[in-house]
Amino acid sequence: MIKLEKEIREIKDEIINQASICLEMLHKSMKALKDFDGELCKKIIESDKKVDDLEIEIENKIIRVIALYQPEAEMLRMAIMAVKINKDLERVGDHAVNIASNVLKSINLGKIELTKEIDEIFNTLTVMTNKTIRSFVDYDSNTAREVISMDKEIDQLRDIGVRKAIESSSNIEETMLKLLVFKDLERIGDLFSNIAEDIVYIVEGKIIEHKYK
Amino acid sequence: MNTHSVVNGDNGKEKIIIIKNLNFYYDDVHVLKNINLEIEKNSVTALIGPSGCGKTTLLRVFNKMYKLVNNARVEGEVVFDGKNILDDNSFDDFELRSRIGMVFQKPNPFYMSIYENIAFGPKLRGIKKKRILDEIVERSLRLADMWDEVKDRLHKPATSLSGGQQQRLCIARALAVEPEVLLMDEPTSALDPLSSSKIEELIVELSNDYTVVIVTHNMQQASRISDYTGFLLMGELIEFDRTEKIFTSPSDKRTENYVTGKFG
Repeated sequence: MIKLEKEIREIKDEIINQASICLEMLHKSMKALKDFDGELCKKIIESDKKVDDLEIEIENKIIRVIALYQPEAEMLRMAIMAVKINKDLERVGDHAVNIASNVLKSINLGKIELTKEIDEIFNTLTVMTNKTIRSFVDYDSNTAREVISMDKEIDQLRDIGVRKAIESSSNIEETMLKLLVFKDLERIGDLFSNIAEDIVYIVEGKIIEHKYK
Repeated sequence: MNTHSVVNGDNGKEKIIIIKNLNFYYDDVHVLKNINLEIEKNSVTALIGPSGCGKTTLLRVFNKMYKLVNNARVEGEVVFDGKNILDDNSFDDFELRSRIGMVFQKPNPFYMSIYENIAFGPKLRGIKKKRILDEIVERSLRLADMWDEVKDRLHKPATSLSGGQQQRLCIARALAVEPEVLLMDEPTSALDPLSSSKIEELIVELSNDYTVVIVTHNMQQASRISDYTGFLLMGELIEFDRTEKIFTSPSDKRTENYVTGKFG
């Protein structure tokens, strides 16, 4: 069915676009955290509307595809998972906004010294994001499975980072900020892991949620 | 060109047929009740509704097929190319049915060869040169996406084709006289799923150059292929809107009940 394939392709393109926007927000939130850049924080918070609007646009397109074409098999898996992926990406954007908002609330601290684990988590997340997008574009469940396994690295780095932040705590506001950043980064890792599980389902038709936990 | 032929609606798109206050009767039975409807050019419009709602009657008004029934009476306006087709002085029936062609529920090829089926209409219009007829036959069969299937057996009987091929032949035959509008009355109801799927894809392709109005009992078919959908119930046009709206959030509860299978 020509129309169904065309519209599914459009939805896929928009999801990739949404993932790119969220990745950019994540990069900017890390820069804002390192530089304690209040103006950049405000820009990140403003850009959340773009993500929210695109989420609704994608959702409407998915509803349209399901209502009009009653997709089956891989097309059905794609349409249903697109709903979940779309929601998860919007939440990635929310977590980038959380980081920016928390930096803005603590802006009077000036720069803070960040543990290397934050950088390492951020680098891992960047790789996860790129692999997630690539596996989605190429319908490649092997790459998606690599993303899922990377989530463990993030959890371990988060645990080390949180412990260091608490042990070296001298200022409660600074420690709170670090803990909140770790929480948001760890949640972003979870969300990309969820998206990768959804991609495995699209490609293989196998539900693997919770099996890697 | 008639200056009234182009009518733009609210969305700026050209309307090819405009129906105003249409009422239709068989003897004293009021079959269509005050229908108002605009058909957008180069789009697919589906008419849906339960049996007896008047959708086929409405389709037959578009090219005055109802005239074949003695006790039919019609009031109102159906404007095509700036003229009310219901006015007997507006169009000769032959000309009207060339410009607004029709494909029926069951494939009805003439008992002739594949070639002659396609060439029949153009010949009636006075085209005699074989070279031109050959071109028309090839072009029409290509449009109906069946040239490659039949090019080596053009002079075989049309009835030797499968049901799906016969229906595509009927579409090719309708296209041979270069209509502007193609009316289709449940064109896939007698076909298997694969043949139906081919016809559906063909309809979508044809809508780039032609206007298609289709009556269908199959709501999934309406949702898959049409741009606009009209829902009729007991002779009334309950709702007419973009297909997406009709199948995701219809305005009228009766439409919602019908498309969700609560009746009909």
